[in-house]
Amino acid sequence: MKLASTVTSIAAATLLAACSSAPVGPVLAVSNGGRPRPASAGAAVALAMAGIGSEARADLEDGLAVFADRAIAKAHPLIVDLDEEPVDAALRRVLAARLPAITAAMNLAGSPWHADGISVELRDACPAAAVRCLPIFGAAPVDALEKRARILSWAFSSAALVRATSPIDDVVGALSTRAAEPDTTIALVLTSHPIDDVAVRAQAKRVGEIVDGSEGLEARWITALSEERAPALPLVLAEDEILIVPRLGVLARLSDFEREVDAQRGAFTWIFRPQSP
Amino acid sequence: MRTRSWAFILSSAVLAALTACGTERPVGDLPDAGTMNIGNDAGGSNPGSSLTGVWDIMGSSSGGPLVSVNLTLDHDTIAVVVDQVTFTVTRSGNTWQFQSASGSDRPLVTGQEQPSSFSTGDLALNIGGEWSLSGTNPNLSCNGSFGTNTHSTCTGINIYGAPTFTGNFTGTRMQAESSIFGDLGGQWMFTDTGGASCTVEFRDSRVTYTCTNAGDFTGSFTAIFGNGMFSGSTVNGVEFSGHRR
Repeated sequence: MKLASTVTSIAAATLLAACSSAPVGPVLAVSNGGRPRPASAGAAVALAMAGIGSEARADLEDGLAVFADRAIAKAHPLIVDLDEEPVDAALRRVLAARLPAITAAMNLAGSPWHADGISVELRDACPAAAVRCLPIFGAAPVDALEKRARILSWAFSSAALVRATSPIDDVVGALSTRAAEPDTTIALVLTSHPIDDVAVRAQAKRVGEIVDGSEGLEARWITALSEERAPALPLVLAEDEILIVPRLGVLARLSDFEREVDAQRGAFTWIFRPQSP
Repeated sequence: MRTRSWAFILSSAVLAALTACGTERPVGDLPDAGTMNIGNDAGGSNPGSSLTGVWDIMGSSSGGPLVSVNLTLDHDTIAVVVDQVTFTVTRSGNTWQFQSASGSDRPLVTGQEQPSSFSTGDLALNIGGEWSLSGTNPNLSCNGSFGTNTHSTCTGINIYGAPTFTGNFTGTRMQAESSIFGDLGGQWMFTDTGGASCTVEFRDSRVTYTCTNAGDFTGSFTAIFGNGMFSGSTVNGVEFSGHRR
């Protein structure tokens, strides 16, 4: 009886200690593997459209329109297309420019993330079955397990979270303008404000009708672009918070990403600076 | 898709092999402050270890989900796993064997190397010297050398769906530069009899690659390395990142 009481006390104390050190709020819950579930292209594209800014969306709309116009004209028996550039070149170029944003969005929308022997899931609270739970932001990995978990969820783990101190649309506009530059390290600039770009969707539908049945690599993105879907960031942001996600290709130089974001200082305060996974 | 996957896999494997040791180079040694301060970033690195280890590599693709590659390196083995298919390169003495787990027990290609003093810096695998490759395909053969002046004559190189190459291939280091990759450091020009022209620059911990008229290898990318990781992108927006566990 005494032994049972002692064991119970130790277990309770251990549980309390574990609870007191567990991160609060949305967490990365780590477990021992699971079945891969590819991220939905539609969800990722909707997130990407919300995060690339109005200039980039306008550029995408133009690229889609140019392709659709030329493809329709080229099919007309009385029109001779004198443009030497292949008809899909502009479309491929404009989609390639958005690929880093889609890549980051694919990871954001990809929870649970799986790899050999490890599974990481974004959860509101730490589930009992988790081997470990980590805060999403602001913590460097302390061991190999945490490092793998943060690499799998890299778009969250290496992101910057800031609070706008100027009108949030101005801050987002400035960051999105930077993100549209070819040398940028920024993939996505996301807020809690919904974005629904009807113009892009309309042009994507036109292109979708032209490439219908195509097995081209970009056809999947065109289909996703033409679908009406509200972007669903799997994380609740406050009205004045901005999530800035780096490009996959700059993870080895996150200090450049932090500098690029920091160039807008004065307009926001840091909540979490980016952490290398 | 297959072509791009191959290009990504091969690039990742080469990059990881080239850079794993370089990840430990102190940042202060690197002159390009604008890009070389990356060593301060990488948390969870493994200072003091060699290039050997297990690497998780991710890459974007223009038509689907992220591509994942697992790479294991030690001094005598390179193992690349993608889509549950394993491709291995193993060395025993001066004999190298290139093998696919999904193929037969026989190696796809066997290479005999007479090593030279050519230094690959932080790269653990000494690949400089005279080479002779032969494969299970009786038409496959390749003879040449790898060093500051690289040349080879090949017929029928086609490894598990990788691009076929036949003809003469030459590479010359046009200008030496400081690099974590030893004698690889500098600007290289590679050409073949088919009209391919490639430039590769190894400078500090950065690798830049540009190829024209090179079939499946046409394109360009830049990669930067630091503290147990590397990342980079191609001119077409495809990105990649590798992390040592």
